[in-house]
Formats: sequence, C-alpha cells, structure tokens
Amino acid sequence: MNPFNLRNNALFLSCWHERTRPVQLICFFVVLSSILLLMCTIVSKFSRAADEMAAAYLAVFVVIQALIFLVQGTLCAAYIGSREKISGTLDFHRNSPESVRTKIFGLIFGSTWLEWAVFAGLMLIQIPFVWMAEVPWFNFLLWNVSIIMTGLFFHTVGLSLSMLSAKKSRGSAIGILMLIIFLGGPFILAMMEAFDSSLIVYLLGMNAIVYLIQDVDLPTLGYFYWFRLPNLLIQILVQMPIVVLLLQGLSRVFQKPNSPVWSKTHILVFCGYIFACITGFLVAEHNFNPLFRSHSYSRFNQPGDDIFFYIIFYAIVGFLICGACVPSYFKLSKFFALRGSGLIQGVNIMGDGASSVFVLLMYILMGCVFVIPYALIGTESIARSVLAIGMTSLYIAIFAGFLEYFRLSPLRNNRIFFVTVIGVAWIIIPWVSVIMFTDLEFGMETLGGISPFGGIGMAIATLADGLKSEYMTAMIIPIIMLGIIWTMVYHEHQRVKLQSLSLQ
Amino acid sequence: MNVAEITNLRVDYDEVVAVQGVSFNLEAGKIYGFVGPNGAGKTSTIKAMAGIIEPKLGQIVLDGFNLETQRDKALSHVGYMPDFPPVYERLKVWEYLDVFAAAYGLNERERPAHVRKWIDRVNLNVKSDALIKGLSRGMRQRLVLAKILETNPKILLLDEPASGLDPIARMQMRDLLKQARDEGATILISSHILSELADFVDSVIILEKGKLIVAGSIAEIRERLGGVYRVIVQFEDDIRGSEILTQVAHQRNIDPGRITRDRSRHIVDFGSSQHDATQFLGQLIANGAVLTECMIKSQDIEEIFLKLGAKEVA
Repeated sequence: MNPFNLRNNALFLSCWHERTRPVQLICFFVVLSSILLLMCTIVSKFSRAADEMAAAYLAVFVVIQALIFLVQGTLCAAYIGSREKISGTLDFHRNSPESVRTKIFGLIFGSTWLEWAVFAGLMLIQIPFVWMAEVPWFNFLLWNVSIIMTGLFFHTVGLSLSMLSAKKSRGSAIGILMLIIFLGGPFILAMMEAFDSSLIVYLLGMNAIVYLIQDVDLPTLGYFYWFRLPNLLIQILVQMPIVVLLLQGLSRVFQKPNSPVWSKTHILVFCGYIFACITGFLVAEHNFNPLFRSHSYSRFNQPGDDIFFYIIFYAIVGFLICGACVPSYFKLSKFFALRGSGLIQGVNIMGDGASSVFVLLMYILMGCVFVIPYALIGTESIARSVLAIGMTSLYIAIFAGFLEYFRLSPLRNNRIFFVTVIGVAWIIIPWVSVIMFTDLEFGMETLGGISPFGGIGMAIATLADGLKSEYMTAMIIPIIMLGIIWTMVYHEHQRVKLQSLSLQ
Repeated sequence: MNVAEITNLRVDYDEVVAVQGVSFNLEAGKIYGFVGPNGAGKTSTIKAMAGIIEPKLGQIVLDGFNLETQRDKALSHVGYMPDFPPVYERLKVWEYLDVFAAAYGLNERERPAHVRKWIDRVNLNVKSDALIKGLSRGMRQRLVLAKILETNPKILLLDEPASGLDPIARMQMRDLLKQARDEGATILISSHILSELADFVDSVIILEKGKLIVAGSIAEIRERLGGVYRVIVQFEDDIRGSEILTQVAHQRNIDPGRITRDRSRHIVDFGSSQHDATQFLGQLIANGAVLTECMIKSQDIEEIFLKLGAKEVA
C-alpha cells in the first residue's frame, strides 16, 4: 500500500472524517478570520507607510500561522494519539494489513491535516505582503521550510507523548504537553539560556525568526563543532535525528503493543545524540570565539559555567533514563521465563526485560566521554571532570537501584508507599540529618550527600576546590548505599527468577 | 487443517496467572465456543491470540504464521471483537466502516457499495448517517461485527459478542456467523452463558481457572463424560409408580444414587447409551407403570460444564 495515497489510508481517513464536519470547520474559520481581522486592525493603527503596513500584516499572518501549525497541530496530534489508545481502535489498526509506515504517516498527517491546510492557506495569503514588504523570496522560503521542520518535530513529539500516557487518561497526555509547552518551555528555556541556548533555539526552531526579521542583529549562519553552517541545516541536524527516533518509537507502538514506546537502544542513542549536540555547540562557541560570541545565542557568564550546567543536565537526563530503562516486573519475569525455557528470543542485555545495569554503564561512559571537551576548554583537569561525573553517576546508580527494587518488589503496586519512601529517604532524612548534625566535621556535603542533589553538589565542589579528603569520606556513604540497594535488587531478581521458573 | 495452533499458552497479569498451559487447535471452517465462568481466562486467551496482550510463554500460530516472530502476517487475517466494542465516537456509522474497509485494501471506488452492503447486513440502514456516539451498545456491537466481517477474516475472535444484544439481534448475529463459517472462516466465540452457544457451535473449549478442562465437539464431550442421558417420568399413581421404578432399577443394576426426584418427577441418569434409557422406559411401562409424563433428555451443555468443573478443577 502506498502511504502517500491518503484517500486509502485508514488512520488518515478516520481523522479526515472526524474533522470535516461543516459546523466545526465553519466555526474554526470564523474564529480564525475574526482573530486575523482584529490583529490586522490593531497593527494598522500603528503603521503609516505602505511597506510598514505590509510588514505588520505579514507579521500577523506569520504569528497566527506558526501558532496554529505548531501549538494547535501538536495538541491535535496528541489528542488523536490518546483517542486511538483509549477507544481501543488502535488495536484494530495494529492488526490491519496496512504497513507500519502507512499507519504512522496516516496518524501524523491525519491528526494535523487541518493545520497543514491552514498553514498552506496562510502562506498563500502572505505572498502579496512579502512582495510589498520587500522581504527576500528566498528568506520567505527558508522561513516556511524551517516552520515545516519544526512542525513535523512538534507533531511527532505530541503523538509520542500521547502514546506514553496512561491508557484511561486522555487528559494526562494533553496536560503533559500543555505543561511542557506553556510552563516547562520557559523553564527549560531559562535553564538552557545560561547553559547552552543554541540547542534549545534549534530544537524549537526559533532560528526561523531571522529569515523574516532582518533588522534584528541575529545570525543567519550557525556554528556547530568546527563548522560554519546555515541555520536551517543545523536545525535539520538537531531535529531530524530525534524525529527519526520518535518515529521508530511509534513503529514499536504498532509492532510491540506491550513494550515501552522506546527501547533501551533508542534511549541510549537519544541520550548520546543530545550530549553530542550540546558538546557541538560548546566546541563551536570556543572555536569561533570571539566571532561567535558577538553573534551567538549562547551567553555564558563565567568560565566554568558550561561544565557546571553540563553536570546538572547530565543528572536530569540520568534520572529520566532510570525511569525509562528500569524493567517492569512482567518484563523481567518474562525474561527469566524465556531464558528458563531455552528460548533465547528477546533475551538480551538491551531487551525490555533486562536490568538497567548495562544502560547505566553506557550512560556513565557517555557522560565521561562528553565531559572531556568541557575539561579541555575550561580550567578543570580531565581527571577531575571525570571524577565529578563519576560522583553524579553514583547517585544516579543509587536511584536506578532504588527504582529497580521497587518495580520488582511485592510493594510495586503501592504508589503511595513508593512516593512516601522516596520522599522520606531522599528528601526528609537528608535534610533532618543536615540540620541536626551540621557541627559534625563531615559538614553538609556528607549528610546532604544521600539526597540525589547531594551528588551534584559534591561534583561541583570537587570541580571548584579539587578533591579533598572530606569529599572522599563523603563518598563512602553513597558507596555503601549503592552496595546495599543493588544487593537488594539482586535478591529481588533471584526471587522473580525463582517465581518465573517454578510456574512453568 | 488447523488455522490456529495454541501451544502451552501462559498469560500473567503481574503475579496473577490468568492462563496457564493452555493448548488447543482450531480447524478451518468451524465455530468454536469458548466457555468458562468469569475469570476463567477466556478474554486473556483471546486477547493474546489477537495480539493485544503479550503472553509470558507459549506459542500462537495463526494461519501458519507465528504471532511472536511474524506478527503482521499472523494478524492480517484475524478479526477481533472485544466485549466493549472500540469505536470512533465522532464518526458516522458509514464512515467507520469506510475507514476499516480502506485499512484492508479496498480502494475509494469499491468502498461505498461495500460499506452499504455491510450496513444492510447488520440492519443499521436507518443509522447509516448517525454519529456513533448516539448508538446503543447493541448497535455498536453490530457495527463492530460488520467491521470485522467486512474484512473477510480467516479467523474470527469474538469476546462475549452477544452481551448487550436483544434476542432478534442475537439471532441475526448467529446467522451472520454461520454465513461467515460457510464462507470458510473459523470462529472462536467466548461466552460464560453456555446455552447461548450450544445450538450453533461445532465444538467447545472449556476453561476454568486459567486451565483448559476439555476441548472437542459437544457429542464427544458427552461421550467422554458419561451419564449424559436422563429419563424423566411422572406417574399417575406416584406410590405405585415409585415401587415399579425401584424394582426395575434393581433388576437393571442401576445405582440408587443415580435416581433423584424433582417434586413428583423421577429422574434417572444413564450412561452415554441412549439405548439403555429407552429400554428402561419400555420396561417401566411393561411392568404396569402408568405415566402421565415421560422424556429421554440428553444432559445440556451447561450441566456438562458444571460436572466437568466439579470433577477436574477441584
């Protein structure tokens, strides 16, 4: 079946039928026209000359086009994904003889066909204004290509998030998305601004602005590692590999209905790619300095900030990896059951049922490798930088063990218990200990060190002051904890193994 | 020829074993009743066969393709209908069938006539342009049944399809399924109400507590079980009649435990031989018993199930 033949694409048709109700379409276009009319009336009050007026109208159409295509399109993609999952119709499509490519194509373009249509319509309307405002046609083309790329990226993210959400809660998918876009976005942006805003600029396609707003001093060329490249190319380099990974995840939704959306391999590749990207922008910044700095999106205030934020970013990614790669009871149990029956299919260290140990080791290795450029560029030694990453990794490994133990133990279904233990063990106890024993010679780093943030603190302290004996003392507590928690995990593995084999 | 082969299937939900060691085959062109009380593992087995849930162990081969390794091919000719029909609430009836006709390769020129035909078959003509969200559960069941049948599957897996249907719709559903069977489809239909299935299935597969108790045709199961023919008599003079009955039973070495009473009716259980039951009845009459009511009845499938459950699952 030809995936591009949309009139015979089932998932596209289901969305097409749903969104072609005359009343809904009329209402949508009435609201859209009203907003456009209102905004054009407002901007016309502030513009005098014809070219100014044209530029103002163009800005109105461009903003509305981007909002509908990027925000509404993403929400619709998420809604359609959730709807398929909740209604159970996804199971029908899983079993249909259409190719997975056709299904994914139908899902992505079916859920957003109206937004694509609006995008194309507004693009046509913009043409006379582009001509009147004397915006170069090539820039107009680049703007549209850039927005299309970002739209594709956003829509795929929306769809993927909806597939991650709980089966019965449609609201959660859309809620997560809204949270990320409207609350998480600025937060991440604020954090990344100091860290490496180039990544977030290209990831969110914000570089597109430079094609239309030419009087702003923004770069039309970007810098990545040792290369000076067009912004659009860097945007494609940043967004498209992630789109490919997301599409592979979506294909798993159809092919492996009971497995996580992303495999461990996908997660490691994603993780490595993101590390490679941020390192690329860091290398570029220092390589093209001072030329780069004067035109860069990045603004590091002090030398050494980059490695500081790298460690925070590394820790956040680590916690996310723990959540995604720790196996569920069912998966581990199946892993043992298959191995026990001599069936080796699906039994490998990167399988869904395998322990998170190997992924953690790979993640730590990646963290150590990608910290080297920071050490080379900054003032810290490679050994100290690697040690700092190692300290953070220690805490990530404790958290992974903690999570793995809970996912396998008989208490795994008791979420209240889980949240309570996490809260007490990782937040309350460290803080009570710190308050009670601050006079002890270990200091806050030691006792606060058993919280997940303690690792980051110690890593930063090591970088700043060098390796001191009290940090070595402080390392002992997490190492003991690591030993205890992974011994508990080992015993839980043995229990699940025995249970799985005895029931055969 | 087997179109489905299930070997040593095991389905777990967390630590609860829903299905364990279940093996059976489905032959082409037959209707199978999948029977068992609530929680027996019927739905889990059907879902595993439809690829909706992942079994922990075991092998499912559908139409010659292993579900684990050749998923797409194995499921391409399987029609699955869950107990709660999955529908697009905001689509119209004809649009729903149009979507799935497209999924199974019908092009846009062929689809309208095809969709109309199936809407007619399930008697949803008057609702053709109605939104699905306004349909009753029974209508939705019929719609999903039409969706499944329109794709011409080789294997049909139906999970409690009759629930929510009125008696007329049930009869129509049976006719549709028989028609599908005659066209070569193999149908596995689950129900916890055995009498629903008894008169139109070719074979039954009985599950209890996640394990397969017995599989085979109803006649075979009766044969294997024994004690399935039953003589029911009512005498004009109950005292005299009872005496004759006891006497004849003694002469024919019938265990008194096989004689029971339901108000004024006397019930005698026999083996699988209908001949013994007939002879017993003849001898009663020959010995002077005056009967106001008499019948030889084969034990119904419901009772067989209860008997099997008591015997083999205890």
